[in-house]
Amino acid sequence: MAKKYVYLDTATGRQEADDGPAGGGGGSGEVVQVEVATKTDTQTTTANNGTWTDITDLAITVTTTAGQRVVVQAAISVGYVSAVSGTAIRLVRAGSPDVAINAAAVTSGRWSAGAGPLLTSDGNTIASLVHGGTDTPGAGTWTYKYQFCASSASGSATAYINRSSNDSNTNPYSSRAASFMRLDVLAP
Amino acid sequence: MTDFASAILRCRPGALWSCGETYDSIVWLDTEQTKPTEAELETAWQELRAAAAARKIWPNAQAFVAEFTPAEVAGIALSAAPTVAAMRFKLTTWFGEIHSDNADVLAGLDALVEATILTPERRTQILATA
Repeated sequence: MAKKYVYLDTATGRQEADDGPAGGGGGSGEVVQVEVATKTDTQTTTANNGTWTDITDLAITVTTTAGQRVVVQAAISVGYVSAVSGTAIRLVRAGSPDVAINAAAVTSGRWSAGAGPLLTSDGNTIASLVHGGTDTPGAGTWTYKYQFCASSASGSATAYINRSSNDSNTNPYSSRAASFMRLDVLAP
Repeated sequence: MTDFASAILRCRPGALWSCGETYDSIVWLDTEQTKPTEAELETAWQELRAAAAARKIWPNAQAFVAEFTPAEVAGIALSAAPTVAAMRFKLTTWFGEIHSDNADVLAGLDALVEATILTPERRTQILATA
């Protein structure tokens, strides 16, 4: 059985994988690199319906060789105002323009990937959106990042990351959450 | 710590922007409204905090109805006054918390006073924070 060695930097929480002291490995489909990004502060936007805002701290830059595959997984905590609005997320490979990864084909074009919840809410709710995607970008250095926007039929809404709508950092609305993304690079 | 998101929503309703947890993190996207100053947002935040301190919150409609005496509940249930009937219906479909500064709540309590189901003193008592 092929083995990989995963190293954890306890100061930063960053993980990296390699073939370990004995070397070898790197066979097809094996994990050759692991990166983790976490976000513990909050972020808010009123930009909506496809005007995307970068989620700060949820971005990872990697260098790949030809044929390597990138796999991204994330759990992102979102808040939203009410049952008639939502918070949408998407994963992109940064560029001009950004390339949406694992984008859903929707005729409206509003949400490229990752649906914000349209759940019943009184403004105190924080939901966790689980999302991921794969990409084979070719040789080069790439930044994968998450973005968010508000979504509403009326075109007016507010989207939150790591906080609820009613949370004003005062009691009784002091609930906060964290978000993270993990990126694996797989051998060709 | 100032909640800049809440303060901007109060100062510039309908504007487009993004922000984190500091004034410098604000990205102003709106072309019609101007970006508020840090002093403006601090003032708005203090206003929000004052309003929150004065606000009574019931966790749900049942808790709100529990404020009323049996005689008052009977009066509400039997009233034919349109505003009271509207309040009665809204309470049956209300989801989540009820806030004492909600316009529907205040209008409903005013209607109960007008219909002599509540006294003005009881209205004050119901809205008072502990």
